[in-house]
Amino acid sequence: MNYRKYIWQGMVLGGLLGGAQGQGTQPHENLKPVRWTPIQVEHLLNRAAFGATSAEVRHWHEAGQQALIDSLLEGGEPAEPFEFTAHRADRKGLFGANTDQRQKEAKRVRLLNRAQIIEYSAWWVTQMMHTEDPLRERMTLILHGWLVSGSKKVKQSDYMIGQNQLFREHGLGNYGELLAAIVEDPAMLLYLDNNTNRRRKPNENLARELMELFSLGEGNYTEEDVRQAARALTGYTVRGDGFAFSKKQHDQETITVLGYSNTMDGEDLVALLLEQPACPRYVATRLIEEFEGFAPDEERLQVYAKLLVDGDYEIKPFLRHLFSDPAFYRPEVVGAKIQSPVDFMIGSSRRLQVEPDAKFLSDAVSVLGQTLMNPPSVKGWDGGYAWLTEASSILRSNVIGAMIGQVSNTDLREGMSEALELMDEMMEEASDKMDGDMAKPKARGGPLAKILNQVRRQKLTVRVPVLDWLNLQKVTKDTEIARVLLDQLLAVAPAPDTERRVTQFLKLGRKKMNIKEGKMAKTPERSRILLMQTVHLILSLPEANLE
Amino acid sequence: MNPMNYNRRAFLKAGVALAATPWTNVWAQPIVIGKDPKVQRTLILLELKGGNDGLSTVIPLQDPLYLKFRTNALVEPKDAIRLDPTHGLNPNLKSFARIFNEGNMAIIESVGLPNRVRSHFRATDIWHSANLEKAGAAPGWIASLGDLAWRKRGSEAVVHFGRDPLNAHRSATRSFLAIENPAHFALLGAGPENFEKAKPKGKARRHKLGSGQASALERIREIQDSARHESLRIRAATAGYRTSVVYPKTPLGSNLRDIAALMNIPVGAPPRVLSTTSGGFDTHSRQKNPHDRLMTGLDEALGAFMQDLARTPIGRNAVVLAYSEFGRRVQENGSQGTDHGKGGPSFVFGHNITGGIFGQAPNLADLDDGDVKYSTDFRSLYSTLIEDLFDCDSKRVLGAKIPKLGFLS
Repeated sequence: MNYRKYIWQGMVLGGLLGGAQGQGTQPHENLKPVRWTPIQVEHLLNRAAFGATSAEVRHWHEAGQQALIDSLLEGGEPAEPFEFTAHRADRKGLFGANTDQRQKEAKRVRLLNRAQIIEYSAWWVTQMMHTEDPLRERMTLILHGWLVSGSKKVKQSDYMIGQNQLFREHGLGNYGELLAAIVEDPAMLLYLDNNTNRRRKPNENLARELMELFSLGEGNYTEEDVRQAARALTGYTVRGDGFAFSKKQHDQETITVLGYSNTMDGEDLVALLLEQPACPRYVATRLIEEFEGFAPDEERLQVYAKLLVDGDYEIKPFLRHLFSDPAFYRPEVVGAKIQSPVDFMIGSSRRLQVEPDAKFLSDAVSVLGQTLMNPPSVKGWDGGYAWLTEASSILRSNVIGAMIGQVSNTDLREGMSEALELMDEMMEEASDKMDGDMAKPKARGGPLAKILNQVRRQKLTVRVPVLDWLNLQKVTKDTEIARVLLDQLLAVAPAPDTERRVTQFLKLGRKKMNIKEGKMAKTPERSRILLMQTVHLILSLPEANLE
Repeated sequence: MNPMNYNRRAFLKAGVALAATPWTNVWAQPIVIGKDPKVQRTLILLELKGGNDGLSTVIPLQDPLYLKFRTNALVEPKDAIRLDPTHGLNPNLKSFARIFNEGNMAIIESVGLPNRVRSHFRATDIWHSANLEKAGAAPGWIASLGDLAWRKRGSEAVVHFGRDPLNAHRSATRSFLAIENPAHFALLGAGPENFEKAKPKGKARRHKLGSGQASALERIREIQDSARHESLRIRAATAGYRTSVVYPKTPLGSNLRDIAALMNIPVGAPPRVLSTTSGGFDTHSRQKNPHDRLMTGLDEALGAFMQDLARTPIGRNAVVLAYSEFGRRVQENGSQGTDHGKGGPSFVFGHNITGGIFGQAPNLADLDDGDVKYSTDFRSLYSTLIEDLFDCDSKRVLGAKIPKLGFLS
């Protein structure tokens, strides 16, 4: 595709954004070297992959920064693709059917589609856990939350899965090609109502998001541009098993968008958007936000926007530069990003060196607020502190506790009686004035009960090789054990006090359970109980939410 | 009681008692009839999901066209509870009728969205954002209101009970408490439970955290501290709540009971907005019996709730808004049900509101493409609440000046 199709009024982007780089060297080779300690290693693996075990961090520390960046960008063996089916109502079979039969058939298809989305989500989290191409999966997840469609509205699971495969395919490819593909993507066309965008009755939804969220960002186009751009996308619809272009519904008159007038279809419109100076700036900002946690300053933004222009929107050179950039490893960035539910569940499982059931993992991620294949709105997930509310911070600790066998239905019941006792104590005076009866606390219902029942019924508790870590590192003292466990389980460095408090927790626990310091190996069963409580508390620390 | 928990309990009790101080004598206060400016005014949102059939809820007693359009999915005018010569209520709404006659219920007629939307998904997004163009991509209207009306309060100011937390509460900057089951809102497991006791001893290893991580940790600690505090407060309030009012044993009944608990129990300042939802209103086929059951369920739960709220000043000062994303088509469909339509009635309850019927009743002789014409912009419900309940400038929340209705004047 030729992005230089529309050069007008001297708007040559390369010229606008500054001079060319020195001949012969790649731009990233001019960057200052990064001090490569385990902190930087883990930082890159947290943000570009899905976290790492202590052993992996040690490996890449020795292998060096370039080796890790090469490995991330080149990836490994591609995974077997997910095989999926298009589930459609049996139209022929419904010929002459009554309403009841039609509704039955609609329900059958709805359930099949829902089941396929559940299966695909489980397949996807398995990829995130084990793929040899983690950066590709990371980009797939980023694009899923950026060029959003959701199965609740799209309904056809094959379209949703097809769109996800498109992200996987282009995620380390070319953003321009991806945009051109997305305006012909059936899931996107349905999600943003472009199937009702007709010549005489345009629907602006896709055109608006294409400009606001996918290419230019707010403020870089007018409402009139949106109305005009919508005309370029008329007739882009979905029929039978995918994308269809209805020539009859397509507006073939001259359209004026962003100061340029011509007849236009979707591909022309995308090419025109990519030529706007706002576009590389917007795309660079989004990408850096995803990996660093917030937007870049103007100086770096110009560098990265130019990288996109010079590379015709190729994503790999952009990311190679970013991961080589000392600014990516600066103190404001490292360890300062709130883990998404995906990062919390997948990253923690990887660091715990356990293999949870894939459906359980995707359910847990969903319960914590990130339902894969169904983001809450066209804006995707808000991310950052929106992930961490009072309710979700407690739920994170309980859900991961359920997975490692530290939280059970019994704990729930005890928690309820604790609340009642406390109420009695606090309310002695006031409760005299409250007449009437108490309701029975609800044991059932709610996300935690769902997770706990799933774990109990399907015996999903995983066994954490906690004693192996201690044996391998040959540590026996409380301080050393605390250090090893924190290092193994957190994606970031612990606060100074944290290590001392975990040490103190181990000491108190040992006393209560009558285990002598340095003698854990002699009572492995009792020690394991204490160590697993420690593992759980580490996963509920403030640090456990950061990457 | 586990002795290991003692410190945490003591800490939380102190915290809860502190927060509770201004409200502890809520039961001792005399109940003032009429508005009491000293008592907080609270909004409770009840969303009826699926699109309630307004024409089977508020019955047009005198419109001969009603019986022409409807043959199965209807309430015979002779069976309806008569409110005035032209308005009747579904016969299962007995408590509604009682509350209406006491002057504590307002019916807002023909409420709808200015744009034509028949998708649940999109219509709900518009209701929640009050933004006609951006819908789901815009922040929720309650979150925007929070920026003006309870800026200094944390997430405990807005509490949702049950499934489907409303997007009305969401924005990038404000959080809220979404609780499916209050009994489960607790940090569990021996490790996290006992960690409070482990005070650091000895010297810290000398290492400094990066500036970004250090400030993030600070903020997460605040969230976690607040979570522990709210967890006990909400569990204690809901589990220990006593009332002689009998709620139906339905999800809506128990969610409304929990809402009443947070309002009526003097444990900390009550939330400014509480919400819950009730589903099943998408009645495309054989509507009559299921819809009658929905009405009964709604009537029993809300009847009990209103009775329970009457017990305290703060309860009497609360306003309940019950709404549905759209009404249903006037013409019954081929399977004795109704499809997605446009305008429909909303309901406002409260002991300190102006009851009665507001807005124009549906005119079945003058339809909009087969739908009840909307004559009340749904945003006028919001502008009334924002201005008259929360004393804020509705234009700053809604982005436009929308005329108010009279139910709070």
